[in-house]
Amino acid sequence: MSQSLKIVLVLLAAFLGITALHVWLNIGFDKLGLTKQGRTVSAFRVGYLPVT
Amino acid sequence: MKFHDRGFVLPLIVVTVLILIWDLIVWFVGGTIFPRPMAVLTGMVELIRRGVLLKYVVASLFRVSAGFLLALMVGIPLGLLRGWFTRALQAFNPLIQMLRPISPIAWIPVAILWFGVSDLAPIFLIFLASLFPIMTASIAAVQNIQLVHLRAAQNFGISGPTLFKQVISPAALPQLLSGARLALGIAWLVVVAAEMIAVNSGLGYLIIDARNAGMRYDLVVAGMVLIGFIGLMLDLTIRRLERIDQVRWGFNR
Amino acid sequence: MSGTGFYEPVRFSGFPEIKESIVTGHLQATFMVAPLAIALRQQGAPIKIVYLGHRDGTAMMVHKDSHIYGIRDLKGRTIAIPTRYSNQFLILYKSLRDNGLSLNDVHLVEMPPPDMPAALYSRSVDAITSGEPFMAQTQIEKYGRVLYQAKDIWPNFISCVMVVHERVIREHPEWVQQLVDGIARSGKWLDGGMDHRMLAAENVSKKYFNQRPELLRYVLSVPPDRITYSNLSLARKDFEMIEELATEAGVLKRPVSFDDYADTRFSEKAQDKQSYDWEGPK
Repeated sequence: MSQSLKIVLVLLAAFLGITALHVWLNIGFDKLGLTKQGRTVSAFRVGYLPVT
Repeated sequence: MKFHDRGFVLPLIVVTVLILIWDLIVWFVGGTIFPRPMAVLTGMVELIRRGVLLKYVVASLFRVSAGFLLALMVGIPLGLLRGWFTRALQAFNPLIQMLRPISPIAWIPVAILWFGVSDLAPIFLIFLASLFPIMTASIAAVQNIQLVHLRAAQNFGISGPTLFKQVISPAALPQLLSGARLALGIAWLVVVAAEMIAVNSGLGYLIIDARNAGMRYDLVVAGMVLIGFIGLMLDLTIRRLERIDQVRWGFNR
Repeated sequence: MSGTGFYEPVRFSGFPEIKESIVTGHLQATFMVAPLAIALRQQGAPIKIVYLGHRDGTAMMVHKDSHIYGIRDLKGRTIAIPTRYSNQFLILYKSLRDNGLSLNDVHLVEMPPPDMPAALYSRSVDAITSGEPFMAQTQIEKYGRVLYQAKDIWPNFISCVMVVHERVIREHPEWVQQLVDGIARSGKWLDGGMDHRMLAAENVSKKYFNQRPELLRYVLSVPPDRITYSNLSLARKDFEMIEELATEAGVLKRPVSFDDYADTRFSEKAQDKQSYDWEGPK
């Protein structure tokens, strides 16, 4: 395999790794609807500014 | 070997001296706003203790990689095409030159409109910021291919996909990599602005939120230091790519 | 304190992003300053005001060493406001007018509230006004002095209101009712005793405000009626006063109608709801 191809594959793997890590840490796999309990109704998002 | 050692020591000395100067200035000038280096360190420890440091770093890295990779996938082919077909270049150049100077911050309303308050909005902004340097580098890469190489190849009867794979692609690689390196730097720079929207994680978010919470400037500077450090690591990584054979010939090193 | 709930609170850092997110429907509801909500509705945004956030909780601060002791001393000075679409601006306008001054007698700057304490400390502005806790912050750090509290000039002052996207009202009115009930009940709980307020300060300051608990404790207790959370129903009278001042000050250009921008159904049903019964995390 040529060197450039190897590099592309490594970068791709790194990206997928970071994506998986991000989903695990910050989103939660359940929110993606991948697990059975994940099929929840989309949340009611309420915005606020931390000031009265 | 000896040369390599000096590569680490000198910068380390410079950074240490700067930290000392920073500490002296803040101690001398006083005031409650700018933090001293120790406060920044304890701020970082607090982030680790709260369990958010890793989360934030990963979130920002994810958004930057996604936006950057998208920019590569769109910018390189478009740039190569425009560099090759000069009439296409002429047709689209004014449009591109007009879009290029628009700061990502100005695109925020559009990003919110199209992508709401999800990860996609900052990814979009980072994509935009990285796109133009990559396209410009791709165009330049094509235009700088030595005419003599092209003529020689065409004399051998090579054309079409083979021409692309054996001649154009390798010839363009060094400059593409320079453009990619520049674009990655810009992408990482833009992450603070991109995370202004309403994401709830990331180093940019950390800085903006710490500032909004009044007096958490230790976290603001901690965030800046982390961003700077990771930016350095990203840049060093790309520069290692410059050393592989297919690319090294393009640099006089 | 953690767990999954029905609502997902999303913290923002500026009004423009909140504005865009609610108007495009990416947020289903948000707290927002009242005049901005009215102005957005007037411009065609598909939103409705359904409840209030709190009452009072706004002040104007000056530097403790300044010689500003009354509204008249503001003549020729620079004052920072969060946005002209805020009741903080309108109350300033009203005070100036009642003291024979006009907007031309002062210099106004629009500034994000988190930046105001530093601006006052460095005296780059002469006075600042916005909601809490940024005003109290200057008091705790001992360089700010109260020029006026909103509650003393405009009784039952309204600052933020709860705004909901029309689509949610149409498709899920029960969610909106639950939200309004929640605000009403927690409001009654907060006003039900100082111990409740301290409990709140302790548990929400870091996670939702990213502030130190001491600051929120101060804001919720000094004086005890600095901010109140009961009596949050929509009253036509309150809003007509806002409309009047806003039109006079040039912030609202065309007439608006309370029935157009407000939906009082939810507020009426929440009137008799009881306070929550929470005594802290178990």
